[in-house]
Amino acid sequence: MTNAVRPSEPAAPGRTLIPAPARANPATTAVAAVSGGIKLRSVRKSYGSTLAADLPALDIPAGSFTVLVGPSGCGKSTLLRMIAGLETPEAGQIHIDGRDVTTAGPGERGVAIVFQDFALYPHMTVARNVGFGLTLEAKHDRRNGLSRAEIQRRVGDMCDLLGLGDKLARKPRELSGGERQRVALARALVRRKPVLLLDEPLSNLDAGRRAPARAELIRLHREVAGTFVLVTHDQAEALSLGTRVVVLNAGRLEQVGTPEEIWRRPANLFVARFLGSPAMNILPVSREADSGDQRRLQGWRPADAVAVDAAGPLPARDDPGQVFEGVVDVAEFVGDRRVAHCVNDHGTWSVEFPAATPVTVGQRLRVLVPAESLHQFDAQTGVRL
Amino acid sequence: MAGAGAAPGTAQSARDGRKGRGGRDGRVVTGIGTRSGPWAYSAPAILSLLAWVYVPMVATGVASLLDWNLTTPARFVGLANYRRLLADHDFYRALWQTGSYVIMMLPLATAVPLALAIALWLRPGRASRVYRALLFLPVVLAPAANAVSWQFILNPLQGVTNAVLVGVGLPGPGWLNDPSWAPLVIVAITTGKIVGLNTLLFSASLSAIDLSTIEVARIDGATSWEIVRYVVVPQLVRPVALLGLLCVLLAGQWIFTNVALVTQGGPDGSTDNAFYRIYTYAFTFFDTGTAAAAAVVITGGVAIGYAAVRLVTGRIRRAGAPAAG
Repeated sequence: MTNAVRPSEPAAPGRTLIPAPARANPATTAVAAVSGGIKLRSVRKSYGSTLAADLPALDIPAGSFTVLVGPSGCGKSTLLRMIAGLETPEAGQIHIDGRDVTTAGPGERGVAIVFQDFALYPHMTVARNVGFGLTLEAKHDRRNGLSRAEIQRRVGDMCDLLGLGDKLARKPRELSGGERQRVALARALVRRKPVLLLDEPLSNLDAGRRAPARAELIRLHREVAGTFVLVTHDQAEALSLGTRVVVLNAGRLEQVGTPEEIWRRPANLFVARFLGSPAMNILPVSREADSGDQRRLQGWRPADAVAVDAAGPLPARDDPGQVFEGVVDVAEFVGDRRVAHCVNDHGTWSVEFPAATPVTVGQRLRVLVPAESLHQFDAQTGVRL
Repeated sequence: MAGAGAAPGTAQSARDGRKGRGGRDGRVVTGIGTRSGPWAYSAPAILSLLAWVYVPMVATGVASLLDWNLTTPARFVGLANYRRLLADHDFYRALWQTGSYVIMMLPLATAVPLALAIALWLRPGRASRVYRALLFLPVVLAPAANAVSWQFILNPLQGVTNAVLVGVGLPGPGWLNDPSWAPLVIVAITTGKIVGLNTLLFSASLSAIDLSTIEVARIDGATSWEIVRYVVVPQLVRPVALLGLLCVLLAGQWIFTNVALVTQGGPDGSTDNAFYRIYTYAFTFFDTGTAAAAAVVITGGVAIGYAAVRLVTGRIRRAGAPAAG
């Protein structure tokens, strides 16, 4: 069912971000042993009375592509900025590669960053933007710093890799949005830091550029052998990019896992509702089998249901699953699929089926949800049962 | 970039005006526009410019050829006024002193307010707002009251400054009575206003800087000084250049009020400058012709200076663009 939210990546039209190289590119064979593991312990941060982060423990494994996802205001950007050293936690420790960096400055943590608005230095050319960090490093440490020629070579290699080879002398204002994003990526990657932080790097791109840029980021992560930590509010982006997804809400961890894990077994109602479009249906269920008055909520994804003829018999199955009935309130046509939003006495629910199936408003609809597609949640705590 | 916006802004509207007249993209909806073109709209501006700038300029040009004391009938004397002016040592001294005022004020109009603005910007908060307000306070003081206050404060015998200096055992200079101190005092009084105003203008330019570029620079390992030097200041080149140019062109005029009110050019002509000299010719000597001739010479000189600055900065910009890569 994960196919529903993992759209197949179309081949990037024209030039791709990362031309698949025949040989190992010198610009990216950066960190021989994969490093960049991040550990957060009891990290707390609040702004006034608003809790921005309260994380008992969060581990970001070295070499992972970890996506921090949640609705706006959930504290994901604050978390990223605390890892970067741009914000200081009120309590707790942050370790990068085993080193406590809680109080270290942003320049001493082994991280690089790409911001949503790309934050290019507007007065510098592409080459100077990309080389600025290396030039500073060389200035600060004349003995171990790179020579001018070496810096120039690395900047050239990185820009070639990102398809910016002919843009070195341009100023940021002379570049397209996609080119600016690649300059920001080149500037972050050229320093060969173990951790790359990405703060909504795709949201400033045109809709058409976003899907190829997504594929290019995945490819880039494969090539540079570092840890990527990306922040997004887009659950589809989180599922498609991450090797690990961290779902945050109101400053707290809701679930951490692989995209498949959090899709298949959402730990609680928040995660269940947050992932997927249309969102998971949540309906109250009172089961006679339950002792006392304990109430449960039952969830199922709109795409997991099988529409059955309103009048006809149910298909014969070992485990018949659950049947839901309702009246179609709104019918949406979404290309290859149709989505029907239905109402019944317990609430509203949606179902997704092939576009060939006709559906009309006011029609009675009966769907069968296989037992393995039903998610049970505690109505009080929201926790998965 | 509020400071930088002023000059390009006017150029832009001039361009738009031409475009509108050409009618290429002028989809004029109102009747007034179709019948009379842009003239109806620009008439108030054109008329006031004529009345206050161009007619007086022509009148000054005419007056510079007359012998006229404002009361008796004028007499045409050709270039006699110019000949007299160019033989007058006081005029040369005034020009020279105008130049030294500009040189003294240039850093006070650019580097000092830039440093103040950046310092206030780096430490935002209530204190920084208070400091900014205090710096701006002299700008809104009435010039005459300000000037007269300084006369009292710096009076060698009764002034508070010398009372303090003598009190701690230091010699009290003559300040406005001392030809070597008086120009410095005039510069100090004038820049009290200029520093506050320019700090405000630079602060406005600073607020246009994308703060995430500063954060990226910090992650790039830049120190605070390197951020100022390589990320902040280069983004302020345009307002700095503009305010520097304004200082070069206008320092003499900024100074005029204080010279007229505090020293009247003295002592011994030490605080005189080009604009006060024109005033002296016209309203002390009632020699309108010479005053007009001086105005023509000075305006011409400023125009040539401005053209030279534009030429040089234009060349720097053209040369700098590709070289920067």
